[in-house]
Amino acid sequence: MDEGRGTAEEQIRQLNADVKIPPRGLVHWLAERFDYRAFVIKDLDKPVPGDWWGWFFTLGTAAAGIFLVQAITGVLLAMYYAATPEGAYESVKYISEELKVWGFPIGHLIRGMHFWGSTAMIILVGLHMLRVLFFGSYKKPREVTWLIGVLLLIFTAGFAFTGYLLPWDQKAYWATQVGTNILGTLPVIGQPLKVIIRGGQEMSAMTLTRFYAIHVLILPALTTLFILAHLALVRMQGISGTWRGKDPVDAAKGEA
Amino acid sequence: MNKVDLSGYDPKRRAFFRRGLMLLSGLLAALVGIPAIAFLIEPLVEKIRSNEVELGPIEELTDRPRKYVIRFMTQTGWVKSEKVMTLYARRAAPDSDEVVVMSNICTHLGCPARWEDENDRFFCPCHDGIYDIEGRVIGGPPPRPLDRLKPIVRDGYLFVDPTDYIHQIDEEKLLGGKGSTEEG
Repeated sequence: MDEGRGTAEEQIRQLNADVKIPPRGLVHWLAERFDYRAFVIKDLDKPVPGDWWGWFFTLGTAAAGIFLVQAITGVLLAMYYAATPEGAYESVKYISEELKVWGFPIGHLIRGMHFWGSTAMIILVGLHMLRVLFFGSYKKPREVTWLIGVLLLIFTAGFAFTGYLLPWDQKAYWATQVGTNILGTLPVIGQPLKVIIRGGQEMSAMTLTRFYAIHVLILPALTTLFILAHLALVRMQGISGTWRGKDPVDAAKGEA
Repeated sequence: MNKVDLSGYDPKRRAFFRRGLMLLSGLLAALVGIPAIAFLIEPLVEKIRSNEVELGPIEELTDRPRKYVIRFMTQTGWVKSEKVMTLYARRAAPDSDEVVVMSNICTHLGCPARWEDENDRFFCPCHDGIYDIEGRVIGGPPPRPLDRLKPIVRDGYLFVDPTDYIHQIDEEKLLGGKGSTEEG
């Protein structure tokens, strides 16, 4: 097994023989200090199952990509957003209607990217989960990756729920009113949980600042951490392949 | 079982896809990066917000300073606020059509200076700053003459656009002035 593993890695190395270090420049400077090719070969050039099956394995990366887009556009929006009852609606309206560069509605574009990104995120995360479910990829030894994935799914829902309130318009306000009331119907812990989430018995400025803090501080930190763990596990254990087996991916599966 | 199948390996195809991947990645990065940079430089882009405020009919002006208190809206980001400003306007000469508009903000530390007709001078009570009718410093600590605003005369009425001037005042306030613009 060990011997075979070495062979597989050796052959992948061979596949990457055409990645030459350039004679000068930044890449050369970096490669002289640490051979980035080792990382590229080991972590980026993983074989995936052939033909169109391979496309199923892009869903997780796509979700991670959207997460990056959300992080960048989110930071930008935070520069113009005020998480107060007086400022929230007005500042979001300002971003959408007045934030322009040479007449181009850049604020509208960035907010639009964040808005559609959140929808795309939910869809991609759902599809990614279905892929893992149907390919049986959650099975031993990958249960921990699956469980972290479940956490990430909950975080994603948390992003969607807290982000929805931030424009502080009628739709946002009443959706959160309903959402937190649903939370309150949980037996025993429901009511205390509702009060904690709302920052009081009623929806108020406290709810808005809380949701904002959760949306831009707590969830991004947790999500980043768990995405890294998720990826590390995928790379340590290799991807599972499809249920058809005997793909090139099986060869690389065992290698660390 | 652990062998990689190299039968379909084609270095040219691989290099092509590697380049394609880099190009695509760069394209995606630009798709997010260019709007992000445009968004970030937005404060540099000049806003054209004309804010002309009427002072009054030009016929009421003489060659002695006349006081006007104007109110107008300013906007920084989404925050709109009303500003009050005191200006002195006069004709450059008794029969002249040339109008001079000056701010009453003392150039020393931003206190409001007032026109004293009997003494023929602007006087700032905070630190005894004194200016002549042209706004030139003739006594006290002010470092430069009173600021002027561009007069706009239309259909016999006098207007000014205080927007640009307001930024100047705010900077002075930030630099330690303690004056209020509300009294003249």
